[in-house]
Amino acid sequence: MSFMKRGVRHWTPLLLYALGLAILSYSFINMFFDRIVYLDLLFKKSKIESGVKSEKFKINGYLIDYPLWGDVIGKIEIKRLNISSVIYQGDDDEQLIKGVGHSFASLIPGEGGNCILAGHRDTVFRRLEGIRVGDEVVIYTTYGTYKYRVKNIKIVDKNDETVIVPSDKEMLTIYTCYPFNYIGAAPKRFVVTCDFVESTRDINLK
Amino acid sequence: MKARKFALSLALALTVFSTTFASAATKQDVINALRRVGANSAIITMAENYLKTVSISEDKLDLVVQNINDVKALMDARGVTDVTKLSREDKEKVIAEIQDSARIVGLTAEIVTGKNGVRTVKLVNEKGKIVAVVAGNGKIMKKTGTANALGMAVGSLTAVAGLLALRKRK
Repeated sequence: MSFMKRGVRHWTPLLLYALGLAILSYSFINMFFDRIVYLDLLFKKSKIESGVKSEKFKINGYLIDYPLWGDVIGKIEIKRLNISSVIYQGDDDEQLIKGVGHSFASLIPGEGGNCILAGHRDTVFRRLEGIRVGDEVVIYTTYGTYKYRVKNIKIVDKNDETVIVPSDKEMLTIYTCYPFNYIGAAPKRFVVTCDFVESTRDINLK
Repeated sequence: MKARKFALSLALALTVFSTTFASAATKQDVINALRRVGANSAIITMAENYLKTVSISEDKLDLVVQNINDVKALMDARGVTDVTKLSREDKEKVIAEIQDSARIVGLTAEIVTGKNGVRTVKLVNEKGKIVAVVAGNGKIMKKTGTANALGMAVGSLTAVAGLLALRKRK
């Protein structure tokens, strides 16, 4: 047997094994650090921070700094499912890795339209599959507390955006990828739409 | 003489009034211009949200409106109502207008083409902070799952394949 053939036969299984371990380790470490960032923020006392802004915006009787991309908007809580997470303005990778992202193409709670929130199915929204019609969803912000009730739960194709259209009345839409345990890029979206119940001027950031 | 004075005053008043009216663009004018050019609701809401955070002079808003109107004029000249239907060359002109409009309001527009060919516009302020990310296809929904599970599955299978091959060799 030639030297080359022997070399290939000798080293290929070892290289395969080493490569497999390397990919496994990388994914595991990545997942571990994602969880660290997420859990770190979850247990920190949330506080609304505002950067340097140049124009105030009136909402719920308060004059606020309209949240810029990356700013903290508030906190979402679904008590029955033990879901609690900081909401960031923007829904890029950076925001989604830290918590729930608010789509900049939608309105913030209290503006009287559709507030669209996104979260990873394997971190902040991993328990979202258990949500039921009638569940209460609460969003805490510096300008008030907003309560919503789940009205509809849909599973749609990832390209179907008919479920997240603008609205002229206050409402909330939450979505994540589906199926929850899918390996790879999930082909569908789990979309929860909620009716507005009430708002108060209480600021209750736990 | 009186009639001439009156005519002169009227002409002067009309000039001042029309000049002021023509250059006094507001934030709403920008939104209206975006609607005329066929921007979808996602882009319009993003523009509205960004304009809520900043004060921009009327002169600058006017320039932005002019840029958007230039894009509309180009689309009308080509007989299209959807900017994505423009030729590659015309799309580059549209991108130039976007970048100029961003510059006018103190932003930089970074155009990034994704693996699926969809262009994304990242608007960055003078401090390098992202102020908005706009998908060129106007899509709102994002991918909200990580590839860690896939990586672990592939890694496990590869390692097991290597291990089996090693055992078989022995």
